[in-house]
Amino acid sequence: MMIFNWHLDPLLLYALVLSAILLSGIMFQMATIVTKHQRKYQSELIQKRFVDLLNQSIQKCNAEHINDLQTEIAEINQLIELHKKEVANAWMRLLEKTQPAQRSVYIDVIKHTHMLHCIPHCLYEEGLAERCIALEAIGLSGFEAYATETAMFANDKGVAPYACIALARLKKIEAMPVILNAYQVGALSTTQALSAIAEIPSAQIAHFLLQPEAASMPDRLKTYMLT
Amino acid sequence: MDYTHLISSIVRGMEYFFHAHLLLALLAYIVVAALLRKHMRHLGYRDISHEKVPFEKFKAPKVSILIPVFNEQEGIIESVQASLSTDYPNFEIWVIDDGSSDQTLNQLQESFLLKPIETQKCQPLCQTQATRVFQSSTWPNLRVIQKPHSGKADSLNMGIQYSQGQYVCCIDSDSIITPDALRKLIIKFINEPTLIALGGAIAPSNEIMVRQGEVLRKPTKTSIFVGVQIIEYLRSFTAWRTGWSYLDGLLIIGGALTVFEKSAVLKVGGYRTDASCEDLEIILTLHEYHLKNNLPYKIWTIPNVICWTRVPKTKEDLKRQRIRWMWGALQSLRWHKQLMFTQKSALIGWFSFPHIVFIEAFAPVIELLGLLSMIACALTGLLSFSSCLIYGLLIYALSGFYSWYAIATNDHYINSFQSLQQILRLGAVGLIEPIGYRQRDAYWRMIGWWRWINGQPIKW
Repeated sequence: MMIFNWHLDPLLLYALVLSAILLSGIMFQMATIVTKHQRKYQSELIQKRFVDLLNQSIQKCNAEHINDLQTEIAEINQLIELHKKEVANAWMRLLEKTQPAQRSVYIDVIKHTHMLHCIPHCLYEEGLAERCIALEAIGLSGFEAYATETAMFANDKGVAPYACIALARLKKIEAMPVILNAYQVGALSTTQALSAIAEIPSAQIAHFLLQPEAASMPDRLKTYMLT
Repeated sequence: MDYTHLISSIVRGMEYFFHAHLLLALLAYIVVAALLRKHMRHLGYRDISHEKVPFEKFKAPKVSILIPVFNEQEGIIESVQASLSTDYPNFEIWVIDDGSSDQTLNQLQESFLLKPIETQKCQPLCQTQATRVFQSSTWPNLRVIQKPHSGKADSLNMGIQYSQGQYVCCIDSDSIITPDALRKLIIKFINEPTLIALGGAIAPSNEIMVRQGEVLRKPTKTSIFVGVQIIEYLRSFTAWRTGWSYLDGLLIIGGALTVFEKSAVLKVGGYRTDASCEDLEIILTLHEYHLKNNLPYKIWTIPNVICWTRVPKTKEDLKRQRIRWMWGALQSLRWHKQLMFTQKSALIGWFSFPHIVFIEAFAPVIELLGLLSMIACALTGLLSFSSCLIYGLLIYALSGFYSWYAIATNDHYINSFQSLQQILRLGAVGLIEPIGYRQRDAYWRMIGWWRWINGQPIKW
């Protein structure tokens, strides 16, 4: 009988090491998934608490108990202080789900909080995803104070679509040159540019297309314009 | 030469071959898996609102959804309704009844109030002619073609001939697409003008429920039989094909959901009607045509558009499916053998096509022969028990790793599982699958090989 001593046989040793690496890889992926879901669960709890507090505040506003808002505002501020990322995300998702006409109800309440502190934090101190969330939040909330900063991100690949959409929401047709420039430098894809243009009122786009500046619009974009 | 020495050298040679094959497969996997991440970034995939392009505010290109159907009275209404609920504004649906002998056409007539309209002469793509054409009274963009039975490929060709869209979206009759599927697919065509074919991921619909257009996974426990197939689809579509897309070396798109630029399909004469795996066949044909004519093109798959399709529920159905897949793959690979080592594309000729032939098509042969020879060597004392155990462990670890990588990728980018419990249960199935299920699958594929070598035709 031929016996290969596995600890002396390089092929078997190699197979064993490879197996160990792959099994460790499985364990690592399991741990990553579990950790990610735990973090996601925690984040969802914070986001839910934030939205609940906002809704409570709105109910009090509706019942004309505006002076009693202090508790909710204080708690929202505490959440903003401790979990800026989660709050910005919850705020953006909430506005996204809300009809534009009803957003002002939430915006009126949020103006009493430290929400504006969240934006620069997410824009400059967190990762790419948070920057995108902050830009979405700026556009959806109509935070015009951040329009200049938003425009600075218009040519940054990755965040440009969010910046251009936010800018179009804030500045309407005035954002068009920035969008077209971002498209021409390749920071926006065709559909991303169209998404940003879609935020501008149709009448303003129709008027723009009749102007001489419309000649600067690339043909590929014009193909999809209705007017 | 000493007999024992000769046998020892043969066993050693087999070990080297096993390691070389495994290492090549693993290296290819690592390269493709790494590129998957690049592809996802390249697609700009992020679950935030810029993906929701408001097509209703623009001139959206017209898309023709083609649903070939043959004796599908059970799921056809659900499938057509799912297609009708798409949020893409400019589309038409063509259901092509391939001579069904059950209640398929009656059900369509009743559900969508069909009225006859004029038929067209259908040449040169189709082998048959439409007997009747109907239009829905309730959904004017829904039309049904009735034709004699001539197979799925010919039905799709007829649909292509009748369609008026710039893009054709081919969907299986037992498949369900989500309302946002078409929009997400067309976005890619608009952004990538050289894209000629694009597929989505495929997942088993056996364990989902549709509520108000939203697809939810059933909270009940998934059977191991279906779970194994979910894992296979995840490995194939989420991890594997997406990675190949980034390299522009994708050679197959799942036939359950594919969007083509219509002009590209017309250039190659539509689907080949004598092919058993028409989905692999059309993609290989498109590659060959575009390479031959030096035309720029891209063929991709994206994993964040899921087409839910019914997978076999019984062992017999699964066996038939696997034999047909293997047989059809060998048939098409042989027809397109000129792609091997082609000078027109180093990637297709020297990497992608050889990979599909030597690593994927030969996998069941090598897997089964390897297993049998390992058992034989162990029984005759040519290989020690510890060696068998180590090699078994390596194969197990490799399969488990592939499965977990696909699950992790899905969880990271697509998030199609609602709870951690579902993911862990599926992961457990992924660790069970290498023991028994994988070998059974390899055996069925070997039957496909055997029948193909012997020239035995296969049935659907």
